[in-house]
Amino acid sequence: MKHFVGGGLLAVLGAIVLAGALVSGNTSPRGWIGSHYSKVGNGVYRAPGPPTAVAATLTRKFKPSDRAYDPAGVFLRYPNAVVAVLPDGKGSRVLIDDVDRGYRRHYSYIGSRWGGPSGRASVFRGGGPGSGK
Amino acid sequence: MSGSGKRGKTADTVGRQIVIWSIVLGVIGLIVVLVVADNNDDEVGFSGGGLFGSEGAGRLVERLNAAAGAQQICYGWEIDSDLPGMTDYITPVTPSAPALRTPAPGATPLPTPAPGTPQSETEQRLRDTLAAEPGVDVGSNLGTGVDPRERPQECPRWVVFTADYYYDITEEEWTSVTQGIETNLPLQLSPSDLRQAGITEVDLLGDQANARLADAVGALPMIVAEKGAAPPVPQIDVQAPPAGDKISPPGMARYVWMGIGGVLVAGGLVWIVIAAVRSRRSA
Repeated sequence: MKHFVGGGLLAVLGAIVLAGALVSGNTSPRGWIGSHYSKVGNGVYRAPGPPTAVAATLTRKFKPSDRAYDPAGVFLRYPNAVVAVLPDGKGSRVLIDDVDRGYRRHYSYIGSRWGGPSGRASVFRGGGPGSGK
Repeated sequence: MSGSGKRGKTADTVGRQIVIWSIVLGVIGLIVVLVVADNNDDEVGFSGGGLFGSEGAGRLVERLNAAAGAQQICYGWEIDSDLPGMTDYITPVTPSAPALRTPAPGATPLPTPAPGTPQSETEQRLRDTLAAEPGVDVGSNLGTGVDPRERPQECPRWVVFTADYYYDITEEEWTSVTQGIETNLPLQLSPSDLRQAGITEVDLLGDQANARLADAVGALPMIVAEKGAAPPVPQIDVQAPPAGDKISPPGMARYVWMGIGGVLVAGGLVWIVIAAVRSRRSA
């Protein structure tokens, strides 16, 4: 009997790890942005707050796999989307694209950083001493 | 106990050990793949020295230069890495077309050395700065090694991000950081502005600390604009990536964890099957 319990526990543990990995890979703020900000175009939304605050809110709610802060805006990378938060008057313009289209659209900001020749990024990829050894 | 019974029990034990060791080795193998993948990710870039590498510093200087042109404010950084062995920028980085030039007649213009020119004034200044303060990375829209606070003619208005790290030689990593934003603008700027922008102290000590440092510097013009002290920095014209240039694939970590989960599920099911076979035999 104890072997059934042991095998069952192992299988349940594996299922939890598997489910966690699957869920974490599907993190995307697309639905949340659509329900909280005003849509002004296909994949374009207007948020009332300034770009840094909007980007911080999105980062808190949906952890991006990478980020890039530029003097002209904030860019967030998710497994299935690239989100750009740009100044728009007193608020922000939020653009959501799939990763390939987002990379092409915002290449001037994120090229070399999130990609490059053959997908090999070359800028700011190291962890530095903070990454631990 | 009969001979066949003993053989059956031995076979069961061996089978169980095979399952257990298969699971253990599978999980260890996947963890090794995960670690190797992470290490490979960290090894990319940083050629050219400094905290940002020559390419990263070049990009940062150009973007700060664009912000300085749009807002008439100089932006810079001074980061004490607490790493005396930190390599300097091999070649000083300067903006390709400086947006801010010396305004006063007769003032000393900002030197823009030809690429590769040895012993230029900029290069010498950088050497002097780094020689005086080893491990300190200084830069601005005027170039690496140039502190806008010391260039009042080009930079009557400035904002500088500062960070002072503590490097633990035992842990071999940065374990604490004190950050700040200095400015001569009639404006309150503090690290809380960066925190509200989503760049925290944890980020500055984390896996991508250098990228977050660049982000902290890059965010300054936007923060200043949001406080109403300057207009927003204009967007860059859309530039298509060259052929073959594409976004990097997502990290392998997720797939490794999926693999670990799959191995555990399979191991658990095999364990149950073996237990079922054993219980049927013994019945």
